[in-house]
Amino acid sequence: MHFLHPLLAAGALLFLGPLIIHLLNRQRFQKVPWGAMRFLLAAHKRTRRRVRLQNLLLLLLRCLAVALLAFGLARLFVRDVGGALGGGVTSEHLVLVVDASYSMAHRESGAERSIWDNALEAAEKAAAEVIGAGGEVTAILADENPRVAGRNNLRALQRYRGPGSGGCDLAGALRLAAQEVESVREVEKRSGSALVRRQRVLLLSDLQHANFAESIAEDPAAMRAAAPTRAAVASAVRELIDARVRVEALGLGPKEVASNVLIAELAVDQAVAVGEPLAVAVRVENRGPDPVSNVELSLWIDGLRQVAEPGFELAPEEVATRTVWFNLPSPGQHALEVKLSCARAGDIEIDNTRGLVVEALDAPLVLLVNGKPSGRSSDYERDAAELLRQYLGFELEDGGLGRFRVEVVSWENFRERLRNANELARYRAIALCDVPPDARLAGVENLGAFVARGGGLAIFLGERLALGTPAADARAAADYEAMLRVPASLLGAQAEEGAQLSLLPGKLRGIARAADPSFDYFRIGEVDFEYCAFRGMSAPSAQPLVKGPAVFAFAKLEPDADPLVHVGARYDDFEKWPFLVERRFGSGRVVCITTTASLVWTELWRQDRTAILMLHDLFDELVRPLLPSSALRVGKPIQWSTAYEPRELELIDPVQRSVELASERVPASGGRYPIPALIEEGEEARAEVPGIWRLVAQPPAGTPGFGPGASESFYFAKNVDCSEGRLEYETGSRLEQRFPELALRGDGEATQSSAEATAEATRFLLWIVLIFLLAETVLNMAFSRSRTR
Amino acid sequence: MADFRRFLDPRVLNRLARLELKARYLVEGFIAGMHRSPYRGVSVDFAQHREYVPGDDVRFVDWKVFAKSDRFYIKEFEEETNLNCHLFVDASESMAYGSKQDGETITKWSYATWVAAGLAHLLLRQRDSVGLALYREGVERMVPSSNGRGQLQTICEVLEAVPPGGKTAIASAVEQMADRTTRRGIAVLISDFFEDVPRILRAIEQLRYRGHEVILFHVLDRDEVEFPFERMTRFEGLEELPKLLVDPKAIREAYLAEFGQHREELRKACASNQVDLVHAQTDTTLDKCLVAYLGKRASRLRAKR
Repeated sequence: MHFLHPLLAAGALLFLGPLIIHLLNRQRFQKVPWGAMRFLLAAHKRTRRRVRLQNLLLLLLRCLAVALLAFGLARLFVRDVGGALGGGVTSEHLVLVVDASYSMAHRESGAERSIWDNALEAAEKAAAEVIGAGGEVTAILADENPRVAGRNNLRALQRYRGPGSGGCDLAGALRLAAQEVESVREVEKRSGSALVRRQRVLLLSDLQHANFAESIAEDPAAMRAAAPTRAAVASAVRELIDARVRVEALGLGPKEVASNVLIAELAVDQAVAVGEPLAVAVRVENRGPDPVSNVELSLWIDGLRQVAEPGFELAPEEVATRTVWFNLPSPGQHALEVKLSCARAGDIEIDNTRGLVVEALDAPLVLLVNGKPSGRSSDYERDAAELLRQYLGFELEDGGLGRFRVEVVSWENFRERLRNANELARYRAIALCDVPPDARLAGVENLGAFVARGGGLAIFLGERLALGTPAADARAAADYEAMLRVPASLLGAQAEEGAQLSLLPGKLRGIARAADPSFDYFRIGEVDFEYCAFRGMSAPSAQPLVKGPAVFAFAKLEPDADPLVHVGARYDDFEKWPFLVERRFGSGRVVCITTTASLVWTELWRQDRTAILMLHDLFDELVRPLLPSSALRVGKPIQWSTAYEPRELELIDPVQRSVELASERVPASGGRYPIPALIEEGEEARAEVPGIWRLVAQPPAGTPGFGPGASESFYFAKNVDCSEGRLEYETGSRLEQRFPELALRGDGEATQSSAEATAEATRFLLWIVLIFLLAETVLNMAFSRSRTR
Repeated sequence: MADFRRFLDPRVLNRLARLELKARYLVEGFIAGMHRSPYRGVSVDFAQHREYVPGDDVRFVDWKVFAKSDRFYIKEFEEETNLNCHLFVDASESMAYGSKQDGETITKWSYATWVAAGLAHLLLRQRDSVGLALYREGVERMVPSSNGRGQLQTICEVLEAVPPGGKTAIASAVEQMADRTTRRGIAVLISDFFEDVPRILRAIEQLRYRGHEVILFHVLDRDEVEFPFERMTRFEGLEELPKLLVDPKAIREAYLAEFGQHREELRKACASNQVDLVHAQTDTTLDKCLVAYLGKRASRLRAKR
C-alpha cells in the first residue's frame, strides 16, 4: 500500500478521536438524585448487554470511518501486489512523456517561465526522486514525432531547443511509452530478477484541449475527423492500464481562457487529395469586451509567409468564420499555419497561430488496353485507346483536367500482365478498347478480382465484334462473353458453387449499323443526366452535346435483369438499345459503352469538350472506389464560396513559384466558380514539391469589402488536426468527463491520474467511508426501534 | 377581589410561605372555579318540604307541619351527615425529587402536602372529620380524625415539620393505622407508589376491608414520566438504592417501558378493587385532586342513602 500524500495518511491516527471523546464523555456527567431508581435499574439490567454491544460497534465504526477517511484523503493506492506479497524490495521505472507541442511555449502574462520550463522542472524533480531511490527513468519527447529522449538522464531534454511550432502526437507518445515499459519488462524477465518493479508513466503537458480533440468544430464532419485523435489517446492509455502501468498526468497549463482575440479553429473537410475541392475554415473569435479593428490573418506554408488577408473588424464576443475552397495541387504533406495579428495591446501571442498539416494523394493511374491499334493519330484514323489517352491525360490550352495518369498497352502486352494478379494492383481503372474476343483468355479471373476489390473496368465495344456477317458477329459475341466470364464467387455474387458470371453487364445480340452512313445514323435518345458521365451536361443548353452527335454503328447489348445493372443512356433506335450500361461487382464496377471510340462508328467523341467532360466524369467514378474516402483527384476543379468572379487568379507553388493560369471560368450555381486544374499529366515533378499551394484571387474593382489591389488567398489542409494555439486546457473534471474510461485527470499542481484503475483505492475507501456512515445511521435507527419495542 | 383561581397552579402556591395559607387559597381558588357551590347542603341545613309519598322514611316526616295542617310533609336536607376522611401521605425519600419548572423547583413532597392540606381544608369547611398519617416504613406522625376548629392548623404543622426521608412501606403503615381508623370513611393515599404493586394492593385491600372508600393520588414528576435526560448522567438512587452512570438516550426506552408497566399494573389493581387512581403530576394544577375527592364523597353519600 502506498499513499500519494503520505502526511495525510498520518491523519488515520485520528481514529483515536471517537475513543477519546467517548472516554471524556464518561467523565463529564451530571448528577441527578433519582426517586424512580427501581425502574431505572430494571431497565439497565435488561438493556445493559445490548447497549454495551451497540456502543462498542458504533465506536468501532466511527474509528474506522475516521481512519478510512484519512486514507482516502491521502489517496491510498496499491501497486506491486506481487512484490508486496513476496516481500521483495521494489523500485520504480518511470516513463516521462513531455509534451513538446507549440502551446507548451506559452507564458502567462507577467510570467518569466513558459509552460515548457515548468514541465522541464517537474521532469527533473520526478526523475531525481526515482533515480535517487534506485529506479530508472525514460524520457519521451512528445511532439509530432514522439521519440525517446534519454534514459536515466534528462540531458537530451534539457538541451532540446524547446517546443517547435508543431503539435503533439500524444497517442503515439503513449504507445511509445508502452513499448518502453514492455522492453524493460522483457529485460527483467530475461535477467530472472526477483525484483518487482513499479512502472509509471507521467505525462507532463498543458493538457491542451486540441490534444484530446473531441469537438474541434461544430461541424459533425470535423468532429468525425477529430474522433481518431481522441480514440487513439484513449486506446493508448487503455493499453498502458491493461499492462498494469500507472498513468499520471500533470496539468501545467493555465486554468482559464484569456479574453483575447484568437484563431479558435482551423478546420478542413474530409476530402484531402490532389484535385479535390477542399474547404478550409478559419474561425476567429474576439473573446474580449471591446471591438477589435484591423484583424489580419496571414498564412504560412512550411514556415514561409505566404499572404496576408485584408484586415477586418470583430465586434465584442464576435465569432467570424471564413470558408475557402481549394484544389490540392500536389501530393504529399505540407504544413499550413494561419497567424492572426491585431493592434490590440496585451493580446496573447500563442493563440494567434493555428496550424494544420495537409496531405494530398497522387493522381490515379489508368491502364488503356489498345485492342486495335491504328498507328495513326488523325481524327478519323486514331484508335480508341489513343483517343482516351489524349482525353484523359489532357493537356490543353484551356487548362486541361490532368487528373489521371494514363498508361497504354497493347492487347498482347495486357494478356501477359493479366497472368499476374499483382500487375493490375497499381491501376485504379482499366479500359478495354476494341479488344478482340478470345474465349481462352488466361488470367481473366485476375481481372475479376481487380474489379471486385474496387477497380473500375471500362469496356468499349466496337470493330472487333463486327466481322461482316451475322453468323460471324454472333460467334464473336459469344467468344467475347466467354472471354470475360469469371467465377461468380470471385465477384461477390450469390450463385451456385462453380457458377460463372460475365463481366459484361448484358448479352450481346449482334451489331446495329446505319444503312447508309451518309444519310442514316443513330443518336443517343434517352440519357440519365443524373448518371456521373452525363452530369456535367445536364443543363438544357448542354444536352444536345450528348444527344446530337451521330452514331453509325453499335453493339446490341441486352442488359442483364439485375438491380446492380444500370443503363445510363440509350440510342434513339426503335428498340432503344443501350449506349452505356454499368454493373457493380463487389467494390468495383464495370461500364460498357456499346460503340467504339473510333470516329468510324460515331462522331460522339469528335467534340472535345463533350468527350473530355464525359470521360473524365466517368473515370472519376470508376477510380473512386479504390481511393481512400478522404482522397482528392488531380484535375478536379476547385471551388470556393465568394460573391464575385475573380478578376485574376494566380497559383503559387510551395517554393513560391508562380504558375500561370489562363483558363476560362464559367460561373456555377450558388455563386461558386470552377477553377481549372492545377496539376496536369507530366507535372508530377512539380507536384512533388513539398509544401502547401496557394491560390490568389483578385476580386473585381469595387467589390465590397476589398480595397484597391486587395486579394484573397486560399490554402489547403488535411484531416488530422494537430493544431496548437487554441489555449483551452483540460481540467481534471472535464478530462474525466471526456475520458471516463481512463480516469485520467489533470488539475494543476496537485494533478494525479490513475492507471492501475483497480489499484487506486481512493475512491473505494471514500465509498467505504460513506457506506460506513450510512450504516451507522441505519444501525442507530435500528437500535432505536429495537429499544422502542 | 383577588382571583383565587391562580392558586390552583403549583408554581404560584409554591411562592406562599405557610402551608395553612396555601390550603386556604387553594380551596378558595378551587371554589371560585366551580359553577355551583359545593356548600349548599353543608351540615343539617333545611332544604325544602315535599308531600309524603308511600315509601318515604317516616323519620323525615315534619310532625309540626302535620300538627298544623294535618298533612304529611317530608323535610329534605342536602347533607345530613359528616364524613370521616383519613389522609395517608408518603414521606419517603423518593418524594423529595422535584424538577425545575419555569425556575420553580416543585418536589413531589411539596405537591403532596398541598394536596393533603387543601383536602383537609375543604373537608373541614364541610364539617367533615379529617385525620392525617405520615408514613415511611411505618407511620411517622399521625393526627387523629377530627373536625375541630384547630384541626387544619394541626395537620399543616405536622406536614411542615416532617421532611421526606427513608424508605417506604405502605402496607405496614396501613396496618399500624388499622386500630385508629375504625370509623368508616374515605381513605386518601398520596404517594408516588414506588413500591411493588402487590404490596400496595395489600394496603388497599386492608382499607377496603374496613369499609373505606379509597382514593390514590399518584404524585409524579414530569422527569419520571418522560425521562427527558440527554447528557451522560449519574442517577443517585433515593431510598438507599445504588448509583448508576448511564447514557440516558440508550436506556430511555427501556426505562419508560418499565415505568409504564408499573403504572399499568397499578391501574389494573385499582380498577379491580374499585379504587380511584388519580394521576397528579407536579406540573399540573391541583384542582384535579380536589375534584376527584368530591366525586368520591358524593358517591359515598349516595351509597349511604
